[in-house]
Amino acid sequence: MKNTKQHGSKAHLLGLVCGLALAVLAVAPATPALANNVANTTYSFYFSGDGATQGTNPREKDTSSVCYLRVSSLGLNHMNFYIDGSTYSSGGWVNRTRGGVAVAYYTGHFSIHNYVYENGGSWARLTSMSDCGSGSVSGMWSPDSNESNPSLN
Amino acid sequence: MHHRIVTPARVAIVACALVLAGVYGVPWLSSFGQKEDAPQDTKSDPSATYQANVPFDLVGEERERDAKGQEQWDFWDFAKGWDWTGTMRLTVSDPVVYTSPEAAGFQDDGFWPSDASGETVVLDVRIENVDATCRDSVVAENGAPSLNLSMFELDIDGTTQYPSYFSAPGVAGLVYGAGKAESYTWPAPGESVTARIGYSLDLYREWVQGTRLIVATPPATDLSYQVVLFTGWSDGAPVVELGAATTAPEGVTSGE
Repeated sequence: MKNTKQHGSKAHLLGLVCGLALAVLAVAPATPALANNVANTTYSFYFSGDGATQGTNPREKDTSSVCYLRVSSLGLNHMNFYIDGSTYSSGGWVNRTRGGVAVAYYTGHFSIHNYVYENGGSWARLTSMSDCGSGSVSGMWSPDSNESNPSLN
Repeated sequence: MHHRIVTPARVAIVACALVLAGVYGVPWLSSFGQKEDAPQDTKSDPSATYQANVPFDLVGEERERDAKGQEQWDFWDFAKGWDWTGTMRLTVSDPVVYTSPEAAGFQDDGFWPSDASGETVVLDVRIENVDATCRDSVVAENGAPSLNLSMFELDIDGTTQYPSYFSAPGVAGLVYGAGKAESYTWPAPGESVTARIGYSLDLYREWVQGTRLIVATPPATDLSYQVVLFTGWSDGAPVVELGAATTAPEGVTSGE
């Protein structure tokens, strides 16, 4: 009887510990995905009027992290940026920018939220479109990022 | 009465057709209805062509400023595209192919591409700062005088690849965290550094198989290589012609 009671107590204790552990796991923040392809590469876009789109070459996207964007020079009032994603580097590009567009009004370091990885994409490219005339924009970007920067979208 | 007979040959033909449709049809179909704005097409000849193992100078010139004091320049004026003014003297080695990034001496710090395992093309770049000064705008943005090694893009048989691995003396005071800071280095005036830069051949093959509909790619030693000195504008960018790639001897991990 004594042994049984002890076993019962141990079982309750074990259950309590497991329950607490599960509760802790449930409320603990998820470990952020390690941002892999974080190296900065340069972009320079020149626009001779509204509507045209320019973009970088595709880069591998390894995580669901935000994209990093640095706007070094901005020769227009503002610039519309997009993160396109695809399963293939060769095409099938779909705009995966959160909210559809990320607008920069000034230079600086930024983040662009996107859903490339969440939609099965393993390739991303930065594209840009002017809707305010001719001018240029240049800077750096990376498909993944572990930096904390103001979000454009 | 005519009976249709399912022969092994017919089965094989149907199977091949299904496989080909899966490999090529899916990416082709998925491209419909999507915007297909190409990056800058390379149409012009390189503005300068340098050779491997021969030192050459990249001289940075001052940029103009607009009414707001913001730097402005024509992107195709490459002397104004470098991150410095003055002279940097570069020497780029011929490519060497290693079986993996580890074999090439790169150390994984958690910021490698997800498929970082295969053959890696390695260049050793000697960067001598003759009298160069990092642009104020670059110092302001990066936190310290710095040169981004991502400027050394590798053209493999006409396909441009970004670097995946870096090994070079770091820069103190950068605003970037681990990973992003890896691609930056800076020799002080009168000093030099040797940077090792690696490119994933797996990424190249994935790219080629998707864009050129080629299933098999030549061995690394049969491909042609050229460095594109990239400042964000590819049309007419200066290049460095490289010789044929050689395979690193077994057990060799350093090109020093």
